[in-house]
Amino acid sequence: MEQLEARSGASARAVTAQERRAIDALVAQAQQGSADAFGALYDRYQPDILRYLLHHVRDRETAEDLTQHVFLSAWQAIPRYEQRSVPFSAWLYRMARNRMIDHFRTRRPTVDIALLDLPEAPEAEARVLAAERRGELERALARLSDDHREVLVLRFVLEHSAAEIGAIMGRKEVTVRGLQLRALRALRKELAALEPPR
Amino acid sequence: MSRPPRDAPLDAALDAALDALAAGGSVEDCLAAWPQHRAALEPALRAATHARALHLPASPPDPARRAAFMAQLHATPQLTPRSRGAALRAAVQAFAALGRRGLVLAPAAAIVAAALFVTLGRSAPPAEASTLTIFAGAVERADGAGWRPLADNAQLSEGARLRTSAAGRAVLTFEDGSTVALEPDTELTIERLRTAGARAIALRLAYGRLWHDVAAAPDRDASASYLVRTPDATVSARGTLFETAVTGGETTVATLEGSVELTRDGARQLVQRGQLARAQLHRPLAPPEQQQPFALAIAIDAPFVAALVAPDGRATGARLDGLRYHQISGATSSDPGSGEQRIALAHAAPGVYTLLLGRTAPGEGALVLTAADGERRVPLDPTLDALALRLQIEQRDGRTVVTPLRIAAAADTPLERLVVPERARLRAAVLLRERAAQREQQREQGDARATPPPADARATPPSARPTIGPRPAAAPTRTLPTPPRSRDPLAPATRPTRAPASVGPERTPTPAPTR
Repeated sequence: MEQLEARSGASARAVTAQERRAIDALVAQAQQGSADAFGALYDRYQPDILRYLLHHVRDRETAEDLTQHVFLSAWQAIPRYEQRSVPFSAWLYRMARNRMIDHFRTRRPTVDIALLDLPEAPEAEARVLAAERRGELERALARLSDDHREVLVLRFVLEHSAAEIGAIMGRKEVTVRGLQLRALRALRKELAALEPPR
Repeated sequence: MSRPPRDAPLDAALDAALDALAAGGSVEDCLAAWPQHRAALEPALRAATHARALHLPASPPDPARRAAFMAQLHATPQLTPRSRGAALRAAVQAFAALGRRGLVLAPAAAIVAAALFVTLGRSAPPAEASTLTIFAGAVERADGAGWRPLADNAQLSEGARLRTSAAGRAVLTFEDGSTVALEPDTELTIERLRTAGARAIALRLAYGRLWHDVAAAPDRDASASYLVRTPDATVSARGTLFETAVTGGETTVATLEGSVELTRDGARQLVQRGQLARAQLHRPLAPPEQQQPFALAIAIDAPFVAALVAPDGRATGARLDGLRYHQISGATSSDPGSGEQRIALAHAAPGVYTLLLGRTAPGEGALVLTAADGERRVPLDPTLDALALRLQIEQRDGRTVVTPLRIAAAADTPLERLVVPERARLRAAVLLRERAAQREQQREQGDARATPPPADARATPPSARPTIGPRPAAAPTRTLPTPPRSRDPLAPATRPTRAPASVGPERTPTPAPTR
């Protein structure tokens, strides 16, 4: 099996033609039922999918669980994946996106709150206070629309190009360029709103 | 990468500028490159410099997680590739050669190719699988003469024989959304598994205890079947909640919702809600007995949907998307869309449980916990959208006692581990839509009628069922009919003492969820 080079932290746009061929070969083998080949694809893409989900769900344990689900679903469905339709990475991101939407559609918020007549655990209060001190950036990001947050995470966390983001989100490249402009404007506005008045 | 020209549109200039920033360029450099967009670019690029702080370094997968994933992967079958396209291509290629022999043959070739496409594409349906979720201990599958351990999320199809260890607890989810929970020291064989079309599920319980949540058959399909065969009898159910146990040389069946039929040697016995029946070899079927009242009931007199998570992670309750689930043996949840949600446990293993509550509408309310030690009312803060309440359940002198502990921290809050097949999800969504339409219709009818009833009209005498406190006058009024729970055989025989302000069945009810 052709091995992939370790690319810790490398951006997806740095995918070389050689690596693309290696990925295509692994995908073909995984489609024939090779667990080893899929394991190599897992090693290659798991960190990116985890970071992508982590920025949306903001809880590492949940993000890791969702990531495992995404890859297990991908393993089940990979015989039906057609390489010509969409790049493998975009196919994976779409699965992650769907899983995330499903997660937000069904989960209960886990923000902690106080019951009026129950003894309050001191650590609960400390955690609530800690939650209050989250970085302004994440708070601003959380206030953006789903599309704006999505495009910023894909662009700045995962360093995808507009064309790659288009493949993941199912949009045209030119649409993504406009979207990222509006997303940055919205982020700027939210950051300004969070700043204390001088 | 080629830089867009100076007169490039703003979005293209920004895209190139972001590339330049990522490559180490400065904001000033970018602004100098596209001076005509300076005013619009600058704030976007300043925001981009902030956004770059979002970047997280990637690290290789955690070895333990990777190992767990690979174990799951080996236990998970792949889907079959779509074969219709290949069949069609092959058929067309084969008959194209015939078609080239003459124009007369060409239409015939097309017709035969189409027929072949239909025939080849309609391959035998793949074997259906159920999904195993392991909550505690070990679950093994018979493999030849021995047993081998199963991984969480394993797919099990017809013929699978499995057993739980002395501490093993697991749930099997079928593709129609039905579930069966396996208690410790239980052996089960999936004899028949078909949920597509008319359901035909047959399980054989050799020993141990199972808790069944059988999804209602679509369109009340009379041919749907769900059978549990034991050494002593056969149990048949449709859309119901019931327990089956094979212990001490007898089969017991306890029905908590709907009804089941117990058959043996041609004799039949209907076991209805709240009843328990026993079957022993070489003995006639005895009439069913009435079950003991529930050990613990939680009434959600508030605009929330709730789920109770047991110490082992199994959950019973409802979700915001309308899905109901019953993984905890002996625990039932009423439908929050039909009125006040009530979670009742026929028997409760001691431990710390978590009650998850998600708000569905504005308004005040409370929880009412009813156990052997009486009734406790826990008011809920009207400003809060989510609660995670810890409940300690203990057995004292043979009685179940519940104590509210504290709210759970986010990091400690367990979430339900559910396998939700697409059909179950769709069914819940359809139900939600129907309920919303009903509510809308009844709201219109309510508006057309006159004013709400006077306050004292709600102060009816207490009934035999656990009741809940009054709701504020401003709370929306449920318009769906209240289920006749006063005849609930699972309700306590005597009603605990309450404050005089408590109200009976005519109380102002909980608003239905707005989803």
